[in-house]
Amino acid sequence: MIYEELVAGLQAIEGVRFAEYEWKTRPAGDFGTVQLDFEAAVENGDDCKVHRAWEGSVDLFTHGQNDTAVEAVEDVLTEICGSSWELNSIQYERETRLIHREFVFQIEAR
Amino acid sequence: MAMTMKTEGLAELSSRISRLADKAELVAKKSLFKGAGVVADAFGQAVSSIKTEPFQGKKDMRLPSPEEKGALVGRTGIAVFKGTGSEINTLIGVTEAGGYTYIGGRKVAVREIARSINSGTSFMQKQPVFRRAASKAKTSATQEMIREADEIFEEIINGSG
Repeated sequence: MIYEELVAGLQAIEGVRFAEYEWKTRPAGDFGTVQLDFEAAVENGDDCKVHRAWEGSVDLFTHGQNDTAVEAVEDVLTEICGSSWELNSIQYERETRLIHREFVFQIEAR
Repeated sequence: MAMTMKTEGLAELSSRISRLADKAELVAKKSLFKGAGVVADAFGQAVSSIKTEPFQGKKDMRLPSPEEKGALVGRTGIAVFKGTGSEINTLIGVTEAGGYTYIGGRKVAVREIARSINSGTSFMQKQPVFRRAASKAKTSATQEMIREADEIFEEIINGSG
């Protein structure tokens, strides 16, 4: 499944720990999560779903700007999803002083 | 075989077609309003699907509290339409009237609560209910926009618009 390749690619990034869906305990360093959110598109044929696309998201939490981590995440998204992703938002969390970037992607379900 | 076609009333038709051009922006705005309304309704329904848990103090990962969810009820809708050159835009989501609310004695922007729930934070699990609602409503919103535009065009061509 392509999604599993995406997860593996993100988990191979040095200096950032990635988990699927959530961290029960927040890691000390820079970290992220990846998850599938919902079925974004479907093509039907012969009474079945011939092609499906999932929409999902990657959330990257960094203590500083960390351009290296951002570029690494974007490289993995480009490698696996092509151009079907975007940086949806950048937020600064006052409570934790973390920078939160949310990437949204669409990926073929197979 | 040769065939002759005869058309009468071209001047009237031409005048009505020229009115189409004059009213193009109005048609675009009315259509967008209809489509945006469909998505805004979907956002309103999406709020009810947000999972909550009572606030239990600071912890590593939590769900929104019922108070945070309650702050969004009735505060989704369509914001001001803005035209820039050939584009007409609107914002759908938590309206400007959403303003601020008090959660645990702290003043919080309602839009910030909506964003925290939709995108998650490092301590709140994300529930992308608005992104999902927008995606699901896209087809019916487009159909509604086309239907509205067709209806207005028909009124103009028939001389009643």
